[in-house]
Amino acid sequence: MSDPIDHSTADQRRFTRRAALHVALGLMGASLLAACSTPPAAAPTSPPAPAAKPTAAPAAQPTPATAAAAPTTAPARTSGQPAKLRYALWDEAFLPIVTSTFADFTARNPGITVEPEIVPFDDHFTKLQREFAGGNAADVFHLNTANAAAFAFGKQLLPIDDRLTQAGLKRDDFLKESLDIYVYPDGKLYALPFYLDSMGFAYNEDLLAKAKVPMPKELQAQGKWDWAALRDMAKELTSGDGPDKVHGFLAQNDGQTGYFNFIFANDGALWNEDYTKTALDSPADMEALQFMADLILKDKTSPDPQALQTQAKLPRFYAQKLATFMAGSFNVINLRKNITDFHWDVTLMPKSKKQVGFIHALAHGIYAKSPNADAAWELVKFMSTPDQVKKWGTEGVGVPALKSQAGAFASPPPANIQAFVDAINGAKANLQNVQIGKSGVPLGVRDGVVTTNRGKQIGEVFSGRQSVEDAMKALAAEMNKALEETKA
Amino acid sequence: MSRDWRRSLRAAAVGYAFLGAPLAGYIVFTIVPVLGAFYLGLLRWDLLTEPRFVGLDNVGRLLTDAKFWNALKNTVVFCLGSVPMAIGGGLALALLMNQAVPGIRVFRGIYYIPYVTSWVAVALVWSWLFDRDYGLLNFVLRVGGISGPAWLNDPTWALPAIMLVFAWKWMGFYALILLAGLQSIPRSLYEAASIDGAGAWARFRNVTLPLLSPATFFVVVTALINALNVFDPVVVMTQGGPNDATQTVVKYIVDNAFQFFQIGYASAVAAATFVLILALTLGQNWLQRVWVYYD
Repeated sequence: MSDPIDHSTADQRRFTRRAALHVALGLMGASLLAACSTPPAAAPTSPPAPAAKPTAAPAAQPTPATAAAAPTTAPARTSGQPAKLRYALWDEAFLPIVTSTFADFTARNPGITVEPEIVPFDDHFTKLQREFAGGNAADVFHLNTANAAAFAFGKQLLPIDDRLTQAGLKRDDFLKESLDIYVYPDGKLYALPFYLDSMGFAYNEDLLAKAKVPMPKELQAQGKWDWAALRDMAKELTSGDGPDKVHGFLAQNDGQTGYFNFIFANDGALWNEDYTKTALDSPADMEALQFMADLILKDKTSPDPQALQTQAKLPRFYAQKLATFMAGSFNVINLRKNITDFHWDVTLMPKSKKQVGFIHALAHGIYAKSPNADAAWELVKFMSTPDQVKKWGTEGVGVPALKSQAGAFASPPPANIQAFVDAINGAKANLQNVQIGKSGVPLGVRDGVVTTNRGKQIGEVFSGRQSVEDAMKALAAEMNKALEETKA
Repeated sequence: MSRDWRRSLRAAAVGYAFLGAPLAGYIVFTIVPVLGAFYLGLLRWDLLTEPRFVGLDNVGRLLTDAKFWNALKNTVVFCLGSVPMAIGGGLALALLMNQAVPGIRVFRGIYYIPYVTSWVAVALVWSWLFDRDYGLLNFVLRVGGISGPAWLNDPTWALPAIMLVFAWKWMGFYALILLAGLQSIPRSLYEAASIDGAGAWARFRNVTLPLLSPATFFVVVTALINALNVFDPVVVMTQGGPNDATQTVVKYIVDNAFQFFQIGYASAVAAATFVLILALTLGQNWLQRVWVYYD
C-alpha cells in the first residue's frame, strides 16, 4: 500500500491548480454554470471537451477524467462557487469529531462550509428517502449497509469508483471487512466506509469484584469463557428487587447489539445458503434465541423489553444497575465520558460453538443529484485522509477503515480495548444485501418490512407471550413473503 | 333588471374574493392532496425507483391483507370504546361546570388544559403512569392488593389504556361545547317542567337532552372523526404494539408509507379510510333528522 498522505497532498496541489485556473477563467466559469440549464448555449464556452460534456458536468458524472476534463468540470463547483454542504448523521456523540473535521476542511477549501444535520437513527434513513423523493437530500450522509444497498438500487448514490481512482486511492487501502459490505451487487462502490465497528462484552469490574466473580478477561485467557459461564455469572451478579434490582446481563431485542452475535456464536446464520430464505427458524438460530429468552424469562438475570422502556441499556450500566452488557466499539466514546465512579473493561463475546461476533462499518454516501456533488466528494475524500479517519479510532468509535490507520483504536480506557480489534478476526458481517442482490433486488429495499417484523416477533418471545418456535415460524413466513415480493 | 343583476354579480364577486384566500389554502393543502392520494393509490412506488401504474392491484391487496383488517378492527373497537367515554365524561363535566359554584371558572379552565396540551407530552406522561414497575396506576393497585397488568405492553390492556387517554384528552373540549349548549337552554323551560311536576331526572331526560342534541350531534361527529384518525398516542405510547394490538388504520398508513415505503399501497389504505369516514359522516347527517332537535 502506498502512502495515502502523498495522495492527499497531491490532491491539494491539484485542487489549488484548479482553483487558479478557475480564477483565470473568471466570468467564463460563471457563464458556464449559468448555461448549464440550457444545453445548446453551453457548448461554445467549453474549450476541450465535446459539446455534450458541460451539460453533464453539474450532474456530477465522473467523466473518465483526463487532465483536461478535470478543470472544466470539477472546479466550477468546488472552488469557484461558495458551497454549503449538508451533512446528515444520526449519532450526536460523533458531532465533536465531524465538526473538527469540517473546520479543517473549510480552512483548506475556503468557500465550502459544512452544516451537520442530526436526525435520530429511527428517522435518519426514512428522512433521506423522503428527501430523495423531493429531490433535495443532504449532500453527504452516514450510511449502513442495508440502506446503502437500497439507495444504490434507487440510483440515489453517487458512484465513487472513478473518483476514488482519480484521487489516487485504491480499494486495497481500506480494511477488507469494511469495504466488502459496501460493494454493490454490480461490483461497484457507492459508499466509502470510514470506520469498522465490532462487538465486545463490557463489564463493571467493581460489581464483579464485589460478587467475587472471576473477570471475563481471565476466563477468556483460560478458555472458559462460554455461554454457560455467562449464564452463571449473570445469576451471581443479579440481586435486589424493585427499583434496587441489579441485572447481571442484558439480552437485547436488537440484531447488531443482540441476537446476531448469539446466532453466529451458535454456528447459525441469518439466511440460507443461496440467500433466498431467512434462517431464523433454523435449529441453531432458535437455540440461540432460546438462550437469550431464558436469561430474561427463566433466570430473570436480564431486564425484559418492558423494563427497558423505563430505563435503557447505557443509563442502566452508568447507574450500576446493569453489571455487564454487549457493547459496540461505538459505545466506547460514551462509556468514557459517562463512567466516572467505577472501573470497567471489555473482552470478547462468550463462545458457544464458536467465538464470533458481528461486525459492521459506517460509510459516507453522496447524494447522486446533489448540486454540490464535487464539493461533497472533496469532503468525503478529505474525511478519508489518514489524519481525519484516525479520529474515529482515537475518539473511541471504531477501527478506522483505512488500513494505515487501523491501529488508532488502541488506547485505553478500557484497558483491554484490543478486544474490539481482536473481535474482528473471523467475525461475520451481514452480507444480506450484497448476496441477495445477486439473485434479484437487494433486501435493503425491503429492510423496513424485515426489521420491523423481526423486532416484533422476537419481542413476543422475549416478553414471554410466544414460544421461540411459534414466533420464528410466523416470522419466517412474513420475511420470506417480503423476499418474494421484492423479486416481483 | 340588468342593474340588479350587475349588483348581485358584484356582491357575489366581493364574497368570493373574501372566500378566496381561505379557499385557495383549502384547495391547495387539502383537496389537491386528497385527490393526489387517490391517484397514488393506483401506483406502486417506493420513493426510490420510478413509480409503476398497477391499477386496482392495491385495492385487491387491501381486501386480503390481514394486517389491514386487524388495524381496521382495532380502530372500530377504539371508536366504540373511546367515543362514549369521551362524550359521557364530557357531558358529566359540562353538567358539573353548569352549577353556580364559586370558582367554577377556574375549574372550567382546568378541564380545558388537557385539550390544549400537546399530544406527545400527554402520551409520554401517561406512559409513565401506565408503567408496569414504576407507574402510579400500578402503585395504587398494589396498595389495594391487586397486581396490575403491564398495560401498554399487554395485548389485552394496551388498546383500552389508549382509549382512556384519548377520552381524558378530549373530554374538556367536548365539555366546553356541551356547556355552551346547556347554557343556551332557556330557564323558562325548566321552570315550566318543574311546575308540571317533573323531577330532576325527568327534566334532564325531557328538557336537557333533546335541547342539547345539536351540540351533542356536533360533538359525536367530531369525536368519531378524531377517534378514527387516532395516531399520536399510538405512536408515542405503543408504536402499534404489542404484536399489533394497538395498530390503527392511520398508524398502518404511516408505517406503509414511511417505514416500508409502499406509497401506493399506503395511499390506497388512506383513500379507503377517507371513503369510510365520509360514509359514516353522511350516515350521521341523515340520522340526525331522527334524533337532533332544532328549535
